[in-house]
This record gives sequence, structure tokens and C-alpha cells, in this order.
Amino acid sequence: MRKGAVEYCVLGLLRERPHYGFELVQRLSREGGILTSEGTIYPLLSRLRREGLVETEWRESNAGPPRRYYRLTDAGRRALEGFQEQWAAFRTAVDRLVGLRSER
Amino acid sequence: MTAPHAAQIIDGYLARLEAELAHMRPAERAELMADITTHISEARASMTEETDAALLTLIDRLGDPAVVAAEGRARLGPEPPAPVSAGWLERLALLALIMVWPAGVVLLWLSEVWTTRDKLIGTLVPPGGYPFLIFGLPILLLRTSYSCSRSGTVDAQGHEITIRSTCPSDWVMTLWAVGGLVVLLVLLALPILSAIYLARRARLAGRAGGSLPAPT
Repeated sequence: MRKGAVEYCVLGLLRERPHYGFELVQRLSREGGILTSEGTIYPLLSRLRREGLVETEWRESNAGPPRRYYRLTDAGRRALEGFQEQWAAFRTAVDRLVGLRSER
Repeated sequence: MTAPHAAQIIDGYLARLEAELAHMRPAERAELMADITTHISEARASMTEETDAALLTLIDRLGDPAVVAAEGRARLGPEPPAPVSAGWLERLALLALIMVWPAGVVLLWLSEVWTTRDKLIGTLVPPGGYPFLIFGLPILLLRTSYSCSRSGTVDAQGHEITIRSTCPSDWVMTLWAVGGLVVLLVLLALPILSAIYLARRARLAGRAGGSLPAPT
């Protein structure tokens, strides 16, 4: 379940602005429990790009070599919106079932 | 400052990771290795003080190479080689195998869709295709034509009495004729049957379709 959600967390972060890989890892790691192995983010980003949900561009960095930035595409935005709806319904159902929300 | 065992820790991790990624396409493996290497240098640059402990924490957080590799396997699809789908070359090859056998064999072996086993079947079942069946087979049959002799006398009532015969009885001859006809029909159908087999194999080898998990 967590695995499936991570890619949408990435898309969610990219909605604000393009990020580079290490930056994404740092932001996801700040939220505990989202990313257990940071290295797995890179194959995931690679797949998102292949599926056309993100696109990449190289940008010069002030320190060190150029960085690959990931940016949300229109398809990525639509995928994220679809997930938001599904997730809201899912969260409500789980909350009710595990007793976090009263059944009234 | 570089940590005392920086080289061992970092290079060791990268070597283990590269070994785990052996299944990936070279280009994808190179890209993932570059991503991880960049990650490590970014992380090292952001450290206030680089120590062995800090580096060990860094690679610990990156995760077990096997876990990262498993993600690569799951995320980046199946292993090479990518299946080649059948095109006009294959259609032409099948047509030619039936119509103009030698050209068919050349096209068959040019194609990358079929395996060597398939190509051997296409070439040898039957060897020579229809040209062989039409010209080769009758010659072969004529050469192995059957001969037998029968000698005897005629008795007083005019009935023939066989004294010595090397010929099989009539029903055996009938069996031979029917069997021969069946074999002939099967032989005539063989080029078509192997073409059908090859057509099915070509479709099986076609791209299974990289289905995306639906985002909605």
C-alpha cells in the first residue's frame, strides 16, 4: 500500500515546482515512514518518466555537476487528481473500519 | 574532510548494487548507477562532518542493494531481450515457404522473430517444401518400386495353382496403398502445417504490451 502511494507523493511534491532527485528524497524522508529505502526512488522516477507522468531536464547547479530536474506533465497532473479522489474515499472507509471515525 | 574508510564504504556499496542490477538493460543500469552516485555525492556535500559513521548511515538509508534492485525489476519491466514483433518480413517468409521454397528459407533465416529451433522446423519440415514433394518424392518412390514374382501351373480344371510366390496377399497390398495415400496427403499438408506453426510462433513472440497500472 505504501509502495503504491509513494509515486503519488512524488507527483504531489512536483505539483509545486520541479525538484531534483536528492531534493525529492530529502523532502520525502522528512515525512517519516514514506520512504524506507531512499535508493528505490530512482527506479521509481525512471518509471514515472517512462510512463510520461514526469519529464526531466538538466540544469546547472551552483555547486557541483548539473542536476536532473523532474517536472510534472499534464498526464501526471491528471493521474494525481485521480489518485486524490480515490485516496479520499479509501481513507474515509479505513478510518471508519478501524474506528477512527464514528459510524453515524 | 574525507572519512577514513570512505572509499571502501562507498565503492563497496556501489559494487554490490551493480552486481544486483546485472539483470537490467545496460542503459538502465548505467542510469540508475549514475543516479545513486549523484545521490551519494550530494549527500556527502551536505554533511557538516564526514565520518565513517555518517557514510554508513547514508548507505543504510539508501537501502539494501537487493531492495533497490528489486524496485528496478518491478518498476522497469522485464529483462532483455525485448521481443521482436512479426512484420511484413515474416508474412512474406511464410508465403514464400509455400510458394517459392528457397526464397522462403532465406527470409525465414533473416527474421529475428523465430528461434533457431523454429527456423529448423520451417526448413526441414518437409525439407525442400513443395518443390521436393512434387519433383523429389516421385523420383524417390520410383526408385524404390516394389517387385515380386509369382510362378505356378494350371490344374486340370483350369484353376491356377500357385507354387511359389514372393508377393504379399491382396489385403496387404490394399493396406499398403491406403497407407501410402495417407502418408502422401500428410506430406502434401506438411508445408502448410509448418507455415501455420511458424505463424503461431511469430504471434506468440509478439510484444505482450507494456501495460501501465492505471493511475485512476
